[in-house]
Amino acid sequence: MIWEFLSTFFIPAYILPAPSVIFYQFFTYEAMWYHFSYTLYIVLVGFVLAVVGGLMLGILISHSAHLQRGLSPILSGFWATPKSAFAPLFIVWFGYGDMASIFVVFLMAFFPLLENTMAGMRATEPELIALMRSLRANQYQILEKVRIPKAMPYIFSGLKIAAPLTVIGAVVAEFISGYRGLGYIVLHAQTFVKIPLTFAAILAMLIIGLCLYGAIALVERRLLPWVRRSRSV
Amino acid sequence: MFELKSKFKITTMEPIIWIIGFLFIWELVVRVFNFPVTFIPAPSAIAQAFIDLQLVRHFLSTTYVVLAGYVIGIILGIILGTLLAHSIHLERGTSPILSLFQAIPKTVLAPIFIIWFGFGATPRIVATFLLVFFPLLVNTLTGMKITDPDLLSLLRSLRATKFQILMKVRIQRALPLIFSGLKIAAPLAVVGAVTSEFFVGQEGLGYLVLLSGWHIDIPLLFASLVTMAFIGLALYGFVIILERRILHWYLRRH
Amino acid sequence: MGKKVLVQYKKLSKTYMGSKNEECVEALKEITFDVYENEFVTVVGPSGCGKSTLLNITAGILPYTSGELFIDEVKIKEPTPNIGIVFQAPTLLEWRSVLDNVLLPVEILGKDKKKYYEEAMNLIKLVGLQNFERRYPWELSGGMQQRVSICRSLIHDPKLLLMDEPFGALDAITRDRMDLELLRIWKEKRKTVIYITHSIPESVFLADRVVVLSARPAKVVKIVKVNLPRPRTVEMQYTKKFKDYCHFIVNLIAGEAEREEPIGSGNREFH
Repeated sequence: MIWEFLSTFFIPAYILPAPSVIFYQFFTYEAMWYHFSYTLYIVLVGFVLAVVGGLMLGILISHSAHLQRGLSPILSGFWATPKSAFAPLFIVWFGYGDMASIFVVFLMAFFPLLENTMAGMRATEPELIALMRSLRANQYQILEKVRIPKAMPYIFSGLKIAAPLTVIGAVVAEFISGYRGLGYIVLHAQTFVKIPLTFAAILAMLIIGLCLYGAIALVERRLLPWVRRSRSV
Repeated sequence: MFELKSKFKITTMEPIIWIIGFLFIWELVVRVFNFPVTFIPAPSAIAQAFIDLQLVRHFLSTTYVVLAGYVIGIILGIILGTLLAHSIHLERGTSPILSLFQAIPKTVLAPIFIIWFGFGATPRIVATFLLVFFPLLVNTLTGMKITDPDLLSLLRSLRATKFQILMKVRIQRALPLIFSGLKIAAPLAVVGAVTSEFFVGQEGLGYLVLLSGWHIDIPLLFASLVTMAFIGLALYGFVIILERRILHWYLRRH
Repeated sequence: MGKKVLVQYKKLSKTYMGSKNEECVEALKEITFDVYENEFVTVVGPSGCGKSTLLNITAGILPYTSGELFIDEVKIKEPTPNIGIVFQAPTLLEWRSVLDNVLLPVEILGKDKKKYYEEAMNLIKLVGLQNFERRYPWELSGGMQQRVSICRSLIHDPKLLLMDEPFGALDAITRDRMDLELLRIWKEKRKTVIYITHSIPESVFLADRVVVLSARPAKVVKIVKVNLPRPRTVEMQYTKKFKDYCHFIVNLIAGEAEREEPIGSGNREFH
């Protein structure tokens, strides 16, 4: 509200447009819905791939301390590199289409998910493992009855961290390739200096991010009802 | 005794062995299968790309932006975090605005910064600063806040001044968290600088990655990526050394 | 009360091998004692003396270095499902109902869940949690969760029950109540119990015999037979005889703690 007031009277529109202008732009730009859904599609595909890959690899790796030690330098290397910087590489490999953006999204979501999955796999109390072993539960399937459910809160935490990252990755990749999507809108808006449109695109990004995050939180509440409550003694 | 020693060696040497092995196999595979340099270059080709003046120039540019944004972000983050920790009113008042800004993906605000500040280093530094600022703010605030009601009562009964509380209690508790924030912010600073360089597109490693993409100079592209990782890791390593020094010194004094 | 021996520790020793430059840690030194069927034995000792090590070895999940361990005349070398374990933390599975938590051992042992359904309900009723079988752990208090844990330890009808400070995390009032509950369950189910605790009054209150361990490396200092009538009552805790037992054990442990002192062993009266 203060924003609306300020921008109507004080701040010139080329610095910071009023919210009303932004919303107007958001709803009236013809191609908005098209690009919005495109980015949404990219985000979802990349995210799902990252979830599958991250979880599987996380569970697998947690079984071998050797693997963990060996992969840790590679993982550290990736952690220190901005994942969106891989976009130009993927564009060279895959061309200017969907794949490059999907891969960037995948990269961005993959690492938090991997890390959190591994942390979750470590989370089972040693007493519980002792109990399992005393019952001769050396079948790893049975351990997975215990360890994976115990890891779920961590996995969901990773999902929530990864969600906003996916949107950023998609948009940056789209911006660079100039193909489609909200990133393309940002590029277009920057080229033709359409400031409200830039903000509108950012608003769209926020919406996707929030929806994704919200969806995850909802699923978590249903699947893991015990997470919010205080843990057992 | 012998097996104990060799066990020790294995655990620390193991990551290094893996890296070397990985690079070796990579080199081998590329040569054997004759992968084109435009697809996946061999480590040797990437190493050659490092000897490139372009790389140095852009590396310095990005490093400058990273450091500037990092330092400014830390200073402002810590100051604001400390201020907010002292006044619940301030904290409550600013909390919605801060949460809003936290939710917005800051890297994509770069075009807006370009509009406001023009091209050059400034928008990049602002973008980097924003990414560094929030973790530092949150961590400092959390660290400096005294939430333990008993401790508060004790301090109040001793009529401790705000300054005394700051020096004797808050800083100690906050220090580990602040360092934690520093560590989180290190790679973020690189992300901020590089991503904004995509939008600004004149210099910096982000721009170099774009450029090498357009010229399909993949070894240079890889070299740029490695350099980015290097900056992030170096910054992180520096923080760790600093942490060890300061925590050690501080703990000994108090 | 039959005098059949269920558990035999014969010079059981355990040394943890150190890694890198750490020295080896001798945890247990030639532990020797017997536990009779249907007996309630408590184990006390200073903190960190190796009580949990003893429990893990008894459960068969931790190998011992030397000596022998027999349960029901079978030499123990690997995990034995004939044992129920209760830890200090309930460690229930949060996503399972109380009933499913109780049935967990049976599932793992590959048995038919349906056959044990009735027994599970009986156990749940026995601990006083009837009507809670469909609830989830987060809906229960700490004491209730621990009771579920006890049911879980009994569902597969083990002969031996190992308990590692099960009520240590509960407040004193709940703990006293749970002790009485436990004695009632023990009487009802006729199990053999080895119960580890920090609390000397609790150890005397519950036990037929108290095994007193020394500080690390843990040796059996003394086994104290508790000649108090059963069923035990709370009032017994205020009798002179009870307090004498407690004092005696306290001195035993204190004497062990001050092993440098040449004196102090004047309190070693033998019953």
